[in-house]
Amino acid sequence: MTVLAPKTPGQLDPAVANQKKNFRSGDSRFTAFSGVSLGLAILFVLITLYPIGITLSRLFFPDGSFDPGVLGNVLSQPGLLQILGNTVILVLAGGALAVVGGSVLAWLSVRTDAKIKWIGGVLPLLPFLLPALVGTIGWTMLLSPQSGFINVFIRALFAPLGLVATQGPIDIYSWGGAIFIYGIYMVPFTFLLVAAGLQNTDSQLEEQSRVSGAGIFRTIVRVTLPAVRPSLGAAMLLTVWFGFAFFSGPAILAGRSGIDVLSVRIVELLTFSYPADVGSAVGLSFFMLVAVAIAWWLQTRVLRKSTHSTITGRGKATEIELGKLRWVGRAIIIGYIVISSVLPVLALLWVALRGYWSSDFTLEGLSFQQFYIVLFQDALTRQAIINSLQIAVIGATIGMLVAAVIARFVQSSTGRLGRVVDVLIKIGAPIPAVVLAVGVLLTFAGPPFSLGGSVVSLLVADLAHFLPQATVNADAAAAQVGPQLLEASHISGAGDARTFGRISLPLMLPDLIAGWALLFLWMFGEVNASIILASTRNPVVGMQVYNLYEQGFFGKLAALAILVLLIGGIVVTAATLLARWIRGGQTKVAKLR
Amino acid sequence: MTPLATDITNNDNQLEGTLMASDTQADTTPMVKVDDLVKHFKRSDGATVTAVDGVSIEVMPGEFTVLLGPSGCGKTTLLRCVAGLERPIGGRIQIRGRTVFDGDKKVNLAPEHRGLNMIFQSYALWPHMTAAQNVAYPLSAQKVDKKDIPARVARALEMVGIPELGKQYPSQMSGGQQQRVALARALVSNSDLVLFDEPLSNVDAKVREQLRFELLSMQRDLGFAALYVTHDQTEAMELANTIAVLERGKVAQLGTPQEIYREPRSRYVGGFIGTLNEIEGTVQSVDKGGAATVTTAVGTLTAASIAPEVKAGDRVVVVSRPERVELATKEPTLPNRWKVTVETSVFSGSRTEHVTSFDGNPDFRVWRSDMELFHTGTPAWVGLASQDLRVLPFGA
Repeated sequence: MTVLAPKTPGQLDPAVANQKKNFRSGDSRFTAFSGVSLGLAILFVLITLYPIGITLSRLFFPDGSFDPGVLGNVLSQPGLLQILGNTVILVLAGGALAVVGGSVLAWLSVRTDAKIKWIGGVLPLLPFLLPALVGTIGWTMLLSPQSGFINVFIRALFAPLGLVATQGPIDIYSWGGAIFIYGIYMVPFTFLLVAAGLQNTDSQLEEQSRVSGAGIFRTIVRVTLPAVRPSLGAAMLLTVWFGFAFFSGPAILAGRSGIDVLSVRIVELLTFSYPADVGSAVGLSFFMLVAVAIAWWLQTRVLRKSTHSTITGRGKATEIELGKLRWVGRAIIIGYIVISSVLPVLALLWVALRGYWSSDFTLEGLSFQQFYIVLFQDALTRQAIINSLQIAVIGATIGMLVAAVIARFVQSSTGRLGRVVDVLIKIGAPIPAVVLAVGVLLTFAGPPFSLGGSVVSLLVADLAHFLPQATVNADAAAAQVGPQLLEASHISGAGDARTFGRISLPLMLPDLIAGWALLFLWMFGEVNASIILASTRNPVVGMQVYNLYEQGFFGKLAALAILVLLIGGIVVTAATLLARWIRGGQTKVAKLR
Repeated sequence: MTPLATDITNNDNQLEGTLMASDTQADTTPMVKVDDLVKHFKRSDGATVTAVDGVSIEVMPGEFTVLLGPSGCGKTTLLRCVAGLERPIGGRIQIRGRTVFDGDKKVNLAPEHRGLNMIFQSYALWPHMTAAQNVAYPLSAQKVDKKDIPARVARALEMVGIPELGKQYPSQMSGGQQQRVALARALVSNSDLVLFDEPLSNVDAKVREQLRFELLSMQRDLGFAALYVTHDQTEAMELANTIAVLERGKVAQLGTPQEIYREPRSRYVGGFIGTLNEIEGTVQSVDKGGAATVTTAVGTLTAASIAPEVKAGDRVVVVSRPERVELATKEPTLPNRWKVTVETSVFSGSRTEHVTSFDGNPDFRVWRSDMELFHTGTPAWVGLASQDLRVLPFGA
């Protein structure tokens, strides 16, 4: 009874066909489940890589044959050096700020009694809960030279002293302002990496140093910093990756500060210049892609190397008692939250309730009218919310399901195929949304797809951009379910379907829901790709917030931004509660081998 | 543990029709028959490792067979091949006379169709199910009538001594209790074959001893055949009817615990299962009764027991167990005796351990049940009866 790889059933004699259902085919790993997973993986790898390939071919083969001319045109573009210079300065200065700030926050949160537990948990989530676009707009409302609330407040403070001015003293539309915005919105990334590095370092190393007579600061310099050096290096490289691709912050500021950067110029070339200069945009995208790819690659190398020096077998990390300095530490942690989130959100809330950007602080005339307009009267904002909700719900659901299936496939396949799929599906992770959007535009806007300006093209770009991240979350979910748990189910007499339904799915579900919520947040507040791909006929919230800012409708803008935050917050809270409820009475899902 | 165990087997129907066949010819058909099984692994650097290298063993119904060996000898891989969790590259496996794997005919039955049960090293209890739900799972997977499930689950939990823990989740239990749930889950469907993958290696020594004892009495009561993987030689000898000592993917020796302890086939087997004293030498002669005379550094020794391949003129080692050696300050009357110096004497409770030395044999161990200690450097005699000396080939 020879049962090889699936044949046409008609060829099998009845006896063999009868046996067949009990036997795994020639390669026991390759079941129907594997086939579907592999197909999905290939499709999604193509969705990411094909547009990039189209972009690169446009650059080097504009008319079907190799022509370095386009790249030459890009290089000779006026102001290119200036743009590159601006970008590098902002990335380096903002990155330095973020590495220092993130490290201080990480050290305070991991190693000292100044830590505030819930903030340590929320901080890495901040970029998702509060999109940098919203935060930056909030800060322009605080620090705009004429009517920024903080400036008005400072001027009022000094007015009795006879210092009367109509603007200043602080200008967000400046180099300092730009560096500040880059810095505060990179901090969550540097915090995450350095905190992980600190958690992996045995605190006994530091205790040994203290016992040997070194003080706190000597210990930090001689023991702690060298121990987390790989994490610091990775954090720096991650700021380069993030900084080159950062669009929403500099885009808000560029109009008045005149500080043009790479990402902003690419979008301008495609959307605000007529006719769109696709060739130059593609050329600049290439620069960005190279820069972020190198930074990303170096970063993963640094981190991988660092695992060799990770100190294992750590006991319970002990906290350094800061004494009176504890309150200084707390103030720094709370200060970051206030600066990055609370102040800009309060500014937006004020403007939304007030209805317009006004610095006369009176409670009179506060109303929810702008929210009513945004939700029910203004067709564009209303449509934007509906479109974004659709994209986020559909995109997150497709993305998480696909990611879960691929993660299970990669986990269960021991051969080379699984590893190749894993690498390919994650290879898109460092590609900036702006670059991907350019690729999607080139690939899908024209015939035969003709999806230009449609919600579908946005969905495709979002899925391509976020799927690598989604698979990382799904990997974690799949890793929760040790292989022996599945083997024990088969041994108990259960087949693939029952094992997936009764064992895999219930154990993965809480993590999948959490991953879904993150995907939802990303897609709902997405700005970079939206600005390039969405049209005024099919607006989405990220693009609409940006347009309202450019057009100066601050009341509507603020109300829309607050609604975006509210919806995001509600979804995340609901998902967290749901995940917790599913885990139910079980104390904790033990990680079994 | 209790007589309750027996009425489980009596009351309930067998798992599959095939089980009935094995009952009628219980004495002749092996429960498990592994024939020339080969399994390779690809290491991450691309090299091929042969984990199981042409193994053939049989497990008879009701028999307790232990696969013993150090880590990396292929014992767990072999067990997983029998379970259907690994796919061998060649050979045959039959369970109850039915072919479940055949490398030539490309037969490979999925684990859920092999009608066996298994206990994993990590217990593999599903953390999102209570103990009772875990135990009920095999029954519902095998489409047992829903009405009967609660009673059978309760009986299984009672049998393993934790009737009160049904509603608890695995994470709320101690390691020993989790182990009992895993045991109940393996026994609830009354399979006549249970595989064990080092099930006792994660619990502490006291619990391990207790569980070992209970496991043995349950196996004798219920009469299932067991294939049990361990690296612990004491565990192996206490549990097994038959031990298969594995060495680099091959069966180094197959036999009862007594045979393997008293008559190891090689230095590897003898050294793995207990402590072995070794003296190098050359065989002078082998007489018709199977006794050998061996020239060694301590003199000419006569050994009543020799490995089959040993011939006159061979380079060999003469081995002995420390507890069979006499140690005295006066010359003993035993046929094999030589003078030694006592290096250390240590009292360890159940016995006194002496390390003695002779030129070229610095580490000859003697275990005595008396409590007499010797000063370091005391001259003494060791003596051995011929039947306590065995001659093994030098190689390996």
